[in-house]
Amino acid sequence: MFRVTEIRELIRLMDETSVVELEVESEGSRLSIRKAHATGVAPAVQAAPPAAVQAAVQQPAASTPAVPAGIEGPPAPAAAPLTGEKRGKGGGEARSTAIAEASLHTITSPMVGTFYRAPAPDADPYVQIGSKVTEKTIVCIVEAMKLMNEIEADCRGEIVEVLAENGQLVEFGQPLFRVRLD
Amino acid sequence: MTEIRGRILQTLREAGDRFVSGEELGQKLGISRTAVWKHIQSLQGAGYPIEAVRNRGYRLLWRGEVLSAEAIQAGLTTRSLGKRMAVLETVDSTNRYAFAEAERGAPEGYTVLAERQTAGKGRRGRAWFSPPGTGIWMSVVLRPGFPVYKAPQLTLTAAVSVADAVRKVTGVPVGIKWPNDLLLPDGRKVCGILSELSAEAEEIRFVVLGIGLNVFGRPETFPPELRTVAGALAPEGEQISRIALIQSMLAHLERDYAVYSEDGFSPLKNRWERLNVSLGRRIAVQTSRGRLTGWARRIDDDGALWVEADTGEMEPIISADVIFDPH
Repeated sequence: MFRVTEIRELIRLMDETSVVELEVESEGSRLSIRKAHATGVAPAVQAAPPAAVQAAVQQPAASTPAVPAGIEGPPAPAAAPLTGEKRGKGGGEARSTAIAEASLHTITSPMVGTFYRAPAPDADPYVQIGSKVTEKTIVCIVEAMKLMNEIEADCRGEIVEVLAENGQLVEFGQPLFRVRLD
Repeated sequence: MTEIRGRILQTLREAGDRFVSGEELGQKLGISRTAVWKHIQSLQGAGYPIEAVRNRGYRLLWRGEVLSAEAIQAGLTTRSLGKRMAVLETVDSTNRYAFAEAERGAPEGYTVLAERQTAGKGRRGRAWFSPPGTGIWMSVVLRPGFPVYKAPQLTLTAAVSVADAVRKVTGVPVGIKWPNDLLLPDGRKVCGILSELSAEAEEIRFVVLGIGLNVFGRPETFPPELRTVAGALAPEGEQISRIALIQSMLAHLERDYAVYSEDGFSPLKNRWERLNVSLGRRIAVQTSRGRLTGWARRIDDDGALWVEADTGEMEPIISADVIFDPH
């Protein structure tokens, strides 16, 4: 199996280049990634935002039951929402989930640290449910060892869910907010 | 404006005890006596102790060096840190200024210093007391190639660099309090390091390392709430060159940053441990979720502090205020 972090790295590399399709094979697993706007055929692709990347993991018949890449491990940074899709038997169900998830972006923590919703204890939170955000909107701070990381929304939309509590310790990749994309 | 005020300060400092007339200053700087007077007034307003006596002129009562990019860079041994530098007379916060410059593309090593901060930043919205000429208020822009999750240990690395530089230049045996405060032998805090990061998901755009180091000032010159907890390297006005300190800090920082980038935290962890005054002590840890008391036992490879809590549990601490010897 490919690790979620590896898939994420490949997607990011693709986003930065003009490559529209990529197939990698490793230890019996094959991963094919295709930029959504490059195909325009499958329904899942049309539901995804234009810059999204679609990933499909093809499992060899002999391997253990396949898990859609999008739901294993920490969620992918939603700059490139990962729509997990399993080809073959049972693929239809996974695909419909992927469509529903496509308009939601999950903001995750890029490091272990303390999650703060406001710049100071007595200040107003950066965002609340219903707040409109753009790519550069600061949504929270994650602090570790007096390093303050102001997390940007990295997408346009509306905050629909706050997934961590103020002052809570968050892990690498832990979901912090969900954003309904414009 | 700022440059002219810097030159006024420089001229007054060089004059020592001698008064310098407004006319002399004006001629030297190519401005009118009235303009000189206006600059002097704003310098006084900024906290500089300038004496003005009718028919004699102006005299600076504080004898510390005036910081200038030329003086600092003249003795700088670094390859990139401090090669681009802004030395300001007054700024709200060197971190904020450096952050904004980095967003506009300031390169790795770009350094901001100010004689005075009006809104120096501390942790979680707190202020850093930074009156003119008494300390080193400095922010350095770094653009490391490693991912975000490796950035926090950089702040422990910076504590090692600054501690080494302070010990070498001043001989004051400062110690590190987790994660990166520097303390005088009597336990007063003399330096704080607050860093800010800009990232695109897991990729670092830049880090601003903010260092506040108190060099001059008796305890009574600090605000009442800081008098028992804050201190300076030279409270009695001992001769310390801030310029030499800055040069040494940048040199140590550049070397240790290269070590961290190439070999990770483990070589620096040993040095951090040798300089630390936290481990083995009874502490209270104040986090935003509550207070924990116990014994500071060790730091791990990520720089987290492991506390043996009074419940018997070992707890890793990532971000908190640490209080020594709680009652």
